[in-house]
Amino acid sequence: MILVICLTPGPASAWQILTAMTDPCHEQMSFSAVPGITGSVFPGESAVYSGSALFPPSDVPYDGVVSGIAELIAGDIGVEFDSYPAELAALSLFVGSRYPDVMEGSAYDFFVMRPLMLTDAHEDSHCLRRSWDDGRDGDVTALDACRNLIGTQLRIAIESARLGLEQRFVRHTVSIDFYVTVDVMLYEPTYRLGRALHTFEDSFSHTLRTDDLVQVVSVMNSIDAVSGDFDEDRDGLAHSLAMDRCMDDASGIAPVAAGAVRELVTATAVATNPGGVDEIEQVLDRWLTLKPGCDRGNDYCDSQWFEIARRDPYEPFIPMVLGCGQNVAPVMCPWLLLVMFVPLGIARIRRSK
Amino acid sequence: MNVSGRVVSILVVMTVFSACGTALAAEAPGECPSQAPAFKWAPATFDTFTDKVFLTVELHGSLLNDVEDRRPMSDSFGYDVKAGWRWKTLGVFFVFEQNMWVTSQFELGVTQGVANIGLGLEVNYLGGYARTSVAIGPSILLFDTAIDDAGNTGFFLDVRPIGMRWPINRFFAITLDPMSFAIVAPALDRIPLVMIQFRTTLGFEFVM
Repeated sequence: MILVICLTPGPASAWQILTAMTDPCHEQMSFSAVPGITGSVFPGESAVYSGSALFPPSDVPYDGVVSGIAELIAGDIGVEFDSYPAELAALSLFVGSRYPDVMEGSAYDFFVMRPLMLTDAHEDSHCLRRSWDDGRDGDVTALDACRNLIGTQLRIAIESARLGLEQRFVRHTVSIDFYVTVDVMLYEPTYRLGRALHTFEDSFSHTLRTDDLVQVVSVMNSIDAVSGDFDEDRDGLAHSLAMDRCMDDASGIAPVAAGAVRELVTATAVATNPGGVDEIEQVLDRWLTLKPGCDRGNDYCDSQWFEIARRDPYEPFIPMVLGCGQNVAPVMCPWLLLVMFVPLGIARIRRSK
Repeated sequence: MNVSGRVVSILVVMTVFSACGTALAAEAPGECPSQAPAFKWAPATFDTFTDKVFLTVELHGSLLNDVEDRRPMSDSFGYDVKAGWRWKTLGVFFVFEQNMWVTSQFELGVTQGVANIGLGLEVNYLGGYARTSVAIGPSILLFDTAIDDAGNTGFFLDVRPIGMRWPINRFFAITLDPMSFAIVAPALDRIPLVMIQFRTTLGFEFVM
């Protein structure tokens, strides 16, 4: 329990995901766009895409395990489902939208979390700069990578939705209390949508945007900030923990992000329908366009979100949580972290021999 | 074999050796555990704790389990009540325990966990200051999980390789099991719900 408290917020956080210590930001934004799910803290206009194969159809076979886990997360997130297809959609979206942060594991599995945070391979799925995305050009290449990843996942979702019903399922592992991990069959179009939405949602917490939040001013950097070899002129703004708090510091940004999510989901649902017009690129153009000429030299074109983006920046992890870095993170019991980490490390080393 | 497997193996081997050694010692004349002198730091002996009904109330906690990489998942704690009859070396008992489980994945909280009901056997040695015990019986789920309903019944096994007992006076003793091993498995169908716990247990025993 001490470890949980010490490590909150976790190292791989973007918009926060549901854990015992963090808010379900990604889940709430993604759920706000799905038919049959009510109670999101980011409510929007009612969905107009019911019946799209992007979501499970009404005759989808019932699975009691899926239903049970969906009801568990509904209670923890604070939403309700109106039917079993909505439960399946919710669980598929839940797993997909958490995948870039925890993959198939638990947020408490540090040996899964560490490589997620410390390698370039995953930065694009969080809409962050990779180590080679430097200078003004780095904003362009990082945003392109982010957009490509979203497009790829949405294309897979659409292709999967065009298959026969029984072929639209994918096996995935979910980590829940007491059972540790459980294998479930998810509805792949919605699961892939969730993975795309995670990255799209992160494009609001991991970039500095114009005052109206439509254009991107600069893409943030986690990997160099954590490594200790960080130069803002070269690497861009350091990833800010404050920008991840959708119900606190970034509460002015999150509803706009949720609205953009609904726009993207609507476009994807329409594109999934036979003969539907594909407006996904237009939506991505609208929300993922870089405003050129903004950097540290001109205070990022005086974005009103700059002050939030400066709060609680990432630093090398141990100094950050121990409170001895340049920017102190709000951690309640830092030294106990070391006490807990040492036995974990020893156990892991012995296990690997 | 993983860490849990090795620890379990060690505990089981310790239990077997402890029980065998104690049984042999009990066969030797003049080495009845009840006749051993009290240790300097013990205010009483085990003499009055034999050939009697005994009752034990214990508290246990488990911070170590089979998902040590994912701590604090599956932490647990609880209490138990034991009642039984003890001869010189051997004792039999009935045990009821509630083992409560901590939720931590999505929400911090405590669930009702399981009720474990079992029959057990204990072997006493080192003048009654140490004992080894095993208990087994049904394990009943007390709350609805995401997958299983309350009332689901499986089994539990509690193995305590070496526990300690400090007699306080002729009728009361404090007991401590620094490390014991329990399998709690209230659901075995579909997706098995099986927890392996390494427990520390503190108790209070009296005889009548």
